[in-house]
Amino acid sequence: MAAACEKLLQLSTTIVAAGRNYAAHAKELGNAVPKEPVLFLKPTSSYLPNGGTIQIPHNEGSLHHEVELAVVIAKKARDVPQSSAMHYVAGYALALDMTARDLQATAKSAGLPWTLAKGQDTFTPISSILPKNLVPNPDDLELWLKVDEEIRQKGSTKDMIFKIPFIISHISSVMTLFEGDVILTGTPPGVGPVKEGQTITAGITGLVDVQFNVEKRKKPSSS
Amino acid sequence: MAAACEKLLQLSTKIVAVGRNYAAHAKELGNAVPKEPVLFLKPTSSYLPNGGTIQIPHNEGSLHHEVELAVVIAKKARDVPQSSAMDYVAGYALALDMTARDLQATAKSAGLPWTLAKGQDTFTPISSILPKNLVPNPDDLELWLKVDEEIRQKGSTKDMIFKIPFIISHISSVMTLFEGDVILTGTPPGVGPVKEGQTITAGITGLVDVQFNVEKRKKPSSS
Repeated sequence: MAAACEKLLQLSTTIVAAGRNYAAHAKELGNAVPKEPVLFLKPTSSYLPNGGTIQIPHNEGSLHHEVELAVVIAKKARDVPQSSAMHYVAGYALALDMTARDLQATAKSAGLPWTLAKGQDTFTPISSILPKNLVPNPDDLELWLKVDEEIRQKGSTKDMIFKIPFIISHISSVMTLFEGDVILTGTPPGVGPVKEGQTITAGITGLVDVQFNVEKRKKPSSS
Repeated sequence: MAAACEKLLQLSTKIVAVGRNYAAHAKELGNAVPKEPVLFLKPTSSYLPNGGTIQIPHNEGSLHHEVELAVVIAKKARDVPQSSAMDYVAGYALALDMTARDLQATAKSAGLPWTLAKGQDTFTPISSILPKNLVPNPDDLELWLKVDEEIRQKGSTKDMIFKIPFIISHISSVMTLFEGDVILTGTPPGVGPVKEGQTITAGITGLVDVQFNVEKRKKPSSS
């Protein structure tokens, strides 16, 4: 089962993230709590497997960590009712929705897309996938994140505004989801910047841990 | 070569679109002409092959057509210099960047992502892929679009603000591109709404034509 799960990420066609899904996180960034999930896309080119190096883009301000529960889709899902949504879950993972916060702020005030802020390479560090049967209650998981051994984020999926069945149902009413697609379900409060040379550790308590180094992206040789 | 091209779309891992790349189109929507390309993502779930039916989402205002030249990537591209960018092109296609314009306006004023406006199923109708050797000068192509036989958009890729080598170089400096990935290069002026029952025809003059019907999306059976 675990081996089958590992292949899932390779099938992944998209990463759909639900923003502002924890009230306290919406508040810490001065955002209103939404009436429906705020959806955005991250490209699969942004995946970074456990143990990898997160790259801070050059000249682009602050890079923030956001620890999230990721839901991995089991099969094609379109217009899925909430009542059967959990049948479409293959498993879970721990992911970071790395965000270039200054770029995001600029985009927001200009009404522009969030792609530059959210979609750069290494901006979706992710753990190995936990098969669904290892996670009997996804609504009661503790997520944590440390930078250089110092706790920065600690929260519970209990505090998600929109729960997993609703999120799957909602997203599948907008766009078809496929086997291996990943949904990021939002981050608890405590987001903040990382600097080159630091180490991020994070996890779902009792289930999975991850570790990533942070470096500045090297400038490519001049063209 | 054409057969190999057909398989490319199936490999596609993402669609990266360049907004506001024709000055007159930026102006018609009251937008400033950008200093660098405005990038956003459309999920591969939004592809609609030629002959398909574009679905207007229910209760969501205006759905607009935007005819665009699509560039299809040949191989992995990261930090590609402009001087060699064209080596990374496998071919071209004619695509429509269908846009729920009212949703986009709401998102822009709230500083929210464009995903709902741009990323729904059937929102990227696309032609078959033209191998690169059939398109010697991508900077001098006429793009056209009709709704029910009435011309709505007609423009030339000569008017693109950012040219293809710059776009490929720029996007690849933000995120790695892979074989089959599609870049939408912007739309000339004349965008406007389509209604159920109408037919869109469009093309690159002398190279490829497409046709799509427009219907309202049926509400799924109640959950």
